[in-house]
Amino acid sequence: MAPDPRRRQFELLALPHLDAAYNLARWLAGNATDAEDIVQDAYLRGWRYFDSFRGGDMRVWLLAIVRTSFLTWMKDNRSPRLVFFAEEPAGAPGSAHETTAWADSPRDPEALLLDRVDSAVLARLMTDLPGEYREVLLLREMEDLSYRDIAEITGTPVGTVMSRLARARAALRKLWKASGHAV
Amino acid sequence: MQCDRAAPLLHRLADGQLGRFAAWRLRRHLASCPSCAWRFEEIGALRAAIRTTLPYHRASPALAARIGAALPREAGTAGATPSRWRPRLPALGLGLSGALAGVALTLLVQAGMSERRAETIGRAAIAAHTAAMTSGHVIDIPTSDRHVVKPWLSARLDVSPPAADLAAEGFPLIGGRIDRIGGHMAAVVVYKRRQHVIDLYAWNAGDAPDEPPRTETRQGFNTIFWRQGGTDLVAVSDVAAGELAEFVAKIAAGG
Repeated sequence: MAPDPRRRQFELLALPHLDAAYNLARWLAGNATDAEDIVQDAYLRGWRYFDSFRGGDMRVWLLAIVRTSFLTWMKDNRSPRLVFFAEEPAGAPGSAHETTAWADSPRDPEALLLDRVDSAVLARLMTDLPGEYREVLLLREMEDLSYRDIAEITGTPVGTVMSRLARARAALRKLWKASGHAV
Repeated sequence: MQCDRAAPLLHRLADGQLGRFAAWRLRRHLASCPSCAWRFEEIGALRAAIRTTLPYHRASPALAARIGAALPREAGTAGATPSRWRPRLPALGLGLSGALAGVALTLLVQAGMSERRAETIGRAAIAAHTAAMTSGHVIDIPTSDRHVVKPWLSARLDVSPPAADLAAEGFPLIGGRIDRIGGHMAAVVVYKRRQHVIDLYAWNAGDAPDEPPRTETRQGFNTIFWRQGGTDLVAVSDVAAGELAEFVAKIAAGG
């Protein structure tokens, strides 16, 4: 039987990003079982719509699909514990809202011993964030994606990515301080 | 530049997503404004914390296999039933069929990432171990009898953890518990070495191939991860690395 070249191409392009897909799904869904279902769904969707992939960054293309699969899964399995969309304050990006978020900055550099973060504590705080914030932090820091790539994955303008990222960091910092780990 | 103009740009500067001229202007402001400079430092610290301490969850071999098996059904090409599906993987130089294909795909995906995986698992093991130690929830079933702990654990999870009687060798068995490590529910067989607790985590690795032990040391803990007979195993303790290696050698040899 002749191998399906289209399929082989899909595997070669898509499989190297399985970890990235899984990591995103795992952090969004919060557990391994659902994350695996979401990733499988995303890969099958990706395969079905492979013709719409016009080159470019396969990882960005796939992560956008993982996100879609996650949102579909969330709609089907609505859990009160899952909050995805953050309540974004009104106001344009870069307005006073963002400056107030960091307004209580202490001046003492010892105040935030972030180089001694306990990974379990930080992971728990991450899961306490709205999914939208968790997502933008993951895409930026763990996948090291640019604002433009994140905008493509999340289907939002670059300006929104910037303001969301700023709010996500402020929210995580606030949780961190409230958790009492900021010595 | 004023602080209210600078604040929204701090994140862009930290992310390297600010144009050269704007970055230069902002840096000049930071040099003269301790408040903004501190905020900038904090953003950097927060970014570093996320980058360096959060676990990166890796897909299990079983998932790659599952996707590999599910794809042909989706393809809908004539005659391409799953049982007859034979992908050619030139990178591996192997013609594989059916169930094995998924494993081959997994190898493709996993090539070159074992080190990173051992590191990730090591971190997760230390996090789980310390969480158990500090919460006081070290044992669900206290027993020194391996014929008690093993069936108790395998009745609750899809894994048959190795449990050995190593009391004579100085590693008495004290019990078992169920715990979460990374994304897995794991069976934990708990041993002691003098006053130290050794946790041996075990979870189902599907049909993934064996992997030799890898040692990770951090935060004063030693971890040894290996895969044997379709089970992922990681030993974690604050005993000396040599003693933990001795323990793992005995477990791997079947007690």
